[in-house]
Amino acid sequence: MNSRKVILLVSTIILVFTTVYAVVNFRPSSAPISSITLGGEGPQIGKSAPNFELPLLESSKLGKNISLSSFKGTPLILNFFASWCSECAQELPLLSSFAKSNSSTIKVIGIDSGDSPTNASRLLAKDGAHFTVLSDEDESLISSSYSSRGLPYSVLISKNGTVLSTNLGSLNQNVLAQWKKEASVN
Amino acid sequence: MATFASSGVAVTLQPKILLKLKGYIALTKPRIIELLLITTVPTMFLAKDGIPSLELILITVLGGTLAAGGANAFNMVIDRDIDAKMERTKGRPLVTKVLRPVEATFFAVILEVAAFVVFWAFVNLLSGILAVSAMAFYVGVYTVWLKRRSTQNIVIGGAAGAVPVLIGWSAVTDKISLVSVLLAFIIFLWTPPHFWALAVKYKEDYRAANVPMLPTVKTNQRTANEILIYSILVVALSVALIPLSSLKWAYAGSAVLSGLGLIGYSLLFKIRPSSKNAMKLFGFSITYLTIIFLSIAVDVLIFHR
Repeated sequence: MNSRKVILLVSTIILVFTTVYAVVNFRPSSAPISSITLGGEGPQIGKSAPNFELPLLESSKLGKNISLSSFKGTPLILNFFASWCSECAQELPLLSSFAKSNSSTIKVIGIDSGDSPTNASRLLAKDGAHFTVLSDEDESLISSSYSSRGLPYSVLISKNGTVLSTNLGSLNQNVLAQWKKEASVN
Repeated sequence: MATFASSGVAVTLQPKILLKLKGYIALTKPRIIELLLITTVPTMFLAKDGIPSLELILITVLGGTLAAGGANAFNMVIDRDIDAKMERTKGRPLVTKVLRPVEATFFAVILEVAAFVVFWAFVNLLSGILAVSAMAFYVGVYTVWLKRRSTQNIVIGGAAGAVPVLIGWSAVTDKISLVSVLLAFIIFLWTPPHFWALAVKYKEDYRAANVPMLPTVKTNQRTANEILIYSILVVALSVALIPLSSLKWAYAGSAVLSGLGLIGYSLLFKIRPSSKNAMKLFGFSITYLTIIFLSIAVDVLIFHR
């Protein structure tokens, strides 16, 4: 072997080993997806709940809006859902019966998000929702002031408009009982 | 053996060497390579306007498989942390520790060098450069840069999956033509609907791994809107290819009919964005690409010999 070949061989070996070393030890950094998602930090517990105006689901075409501030004086549960979300459909009967039996102390407001109102109406008609449902067809809330990483997403608001708690994923008996207690003391 | 069984210890007597061998094969993601073959070989038919020699087909497929296998192995080394957090990928050899990262990386380097040598020695330099560039793009731009940062990760990363078509064309003609670039764009535009449909099912997996796949960070409805746009674009391009290439009705008919199918499944998912409809779309997207490329080969066989 002449010296050129030796240099070529040695540099190839060095290159290969450097590559392997670099790849094995390389750890890509990642932005946490919560910072890329949907935008905004979402409702902050202890702060006042961001106000919004949305149409009723049944009359979403008529353009008559209802604002959050109009419910002041009553504790609220905002429930963000969509007809395509199976977990949302599963929690619907529980939420509905909770709303019915606690109608004097706490108000449940469903917010159909990023969804066709027709599909949502069909889902609600099947199970019968005993609460007010608003339509947020272009998901303006869960993409900004009520930023959430998924559905269903629920927010507990006190009677004077403070965010008390949030829940990502299905609600259950325990959470609802806990929330009822929290709402009564705040 | 009886003593093992009676003591309740499950023993699989798989020799370590066999486990390792299986691990090395898994590193190349053999299923993805199937798709590579489906797109490359018909493109070679079209480039030749007939049937290329069997020898050239086999060598090109071999080179492409080595290059894509190497790229996939690099990907698994870099992504071994997130693969461990995902149900779908936690059986991969670097997660189960069947192979060490150093072994996998050496394997990847060897595959890439082999791919380049095979192309350069037996096909042409252009094909070799294309193959290694696609690997560099996939590993550098997709895996390292975009995958963990952007919801558009697979849109741009999809460019790597489109290169095998260019390789097929250059292997036959030693250059890249407009038609081959259009074919590559078909794969590029097809990738988002295909991959996002799958990612809808695994969105929680990606969330656990902190990977911002579009369905993980946006609602299904939003994902469905984006999918529909890309589906319409890919079908429009595949139809535009009819007057722009020498392809005749065997391709034209297949492109139009299967295109309607793809748009139909995308619409179904938009109307009802459930996981089930997403998987139907995912399944059909594979059928769609297969039909498009097989019909190119069939068209060439019928009309161009």
